[in-house]
Amino acid sequence: MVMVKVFGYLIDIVGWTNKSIDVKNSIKLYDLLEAILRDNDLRRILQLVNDGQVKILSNGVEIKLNDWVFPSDEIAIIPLPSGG
Amino acid sequence: MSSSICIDPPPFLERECFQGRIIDGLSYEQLFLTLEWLSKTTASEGSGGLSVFMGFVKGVIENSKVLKLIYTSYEPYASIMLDKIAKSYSLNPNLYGVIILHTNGVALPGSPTLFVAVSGKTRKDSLDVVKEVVERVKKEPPIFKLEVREDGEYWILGDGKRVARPK
Repeated sequence: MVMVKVFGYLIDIVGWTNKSIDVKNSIKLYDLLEAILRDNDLRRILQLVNDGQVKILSNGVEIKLNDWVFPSDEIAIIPLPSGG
Repeated sequence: MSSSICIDPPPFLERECFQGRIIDGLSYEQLFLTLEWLSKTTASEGSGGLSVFMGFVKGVIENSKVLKLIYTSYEPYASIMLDKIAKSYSLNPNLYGVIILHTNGVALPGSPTLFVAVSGKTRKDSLDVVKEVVERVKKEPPIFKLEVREDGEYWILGDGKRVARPK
């Protein structure tokens, strides 16, 4: 099972804060996103990643769309931080 | 750095001179306890002053009354990053301690959001580091802020850009 968490205004784009997806073996991040996001949302998120406005983390470390995701990984899709 | 300092911290802190963490509902009482503890514990090493930054929730933004801010942190990574920022100064021989506390959850106008306290050999040492730490906290840890105002709700991006939530 892979847990996917979403933060900030991205919640309003995808319509949820977290989802878990059953992953038996490894899966590419892009394929994982394609499985859990609606087409329009996927396109928008990918554009934001491309523009440097969004990062995707696996277990706290930034990963790329071509990287592998493994069962029990936690994925976070995060916008620019706004601490302080 | 002597291992005999930074002992007996308040219950919400670790026994370390350089540390950072997220605290749910950060309170003024916790800040005062931190100030007192850091002052007394680093005085024994020769420190004579703390430089402090405290951020708090504004009551008015863009002519609209602020009802509250809601902070969400991606834990444990937000606390890990705050701690990493504080510890990145631990090898500076002119510093005795750096404490970074950031709130999480609902914060009302006037209540503290970010607290940075630096104990150093000189005023210049500690003032320069406080400024640097505040800038890093605004950019590095995964902390996110929703502004709830009379005229609507706004996600804050980076250092000031706002995205209105759909009504």
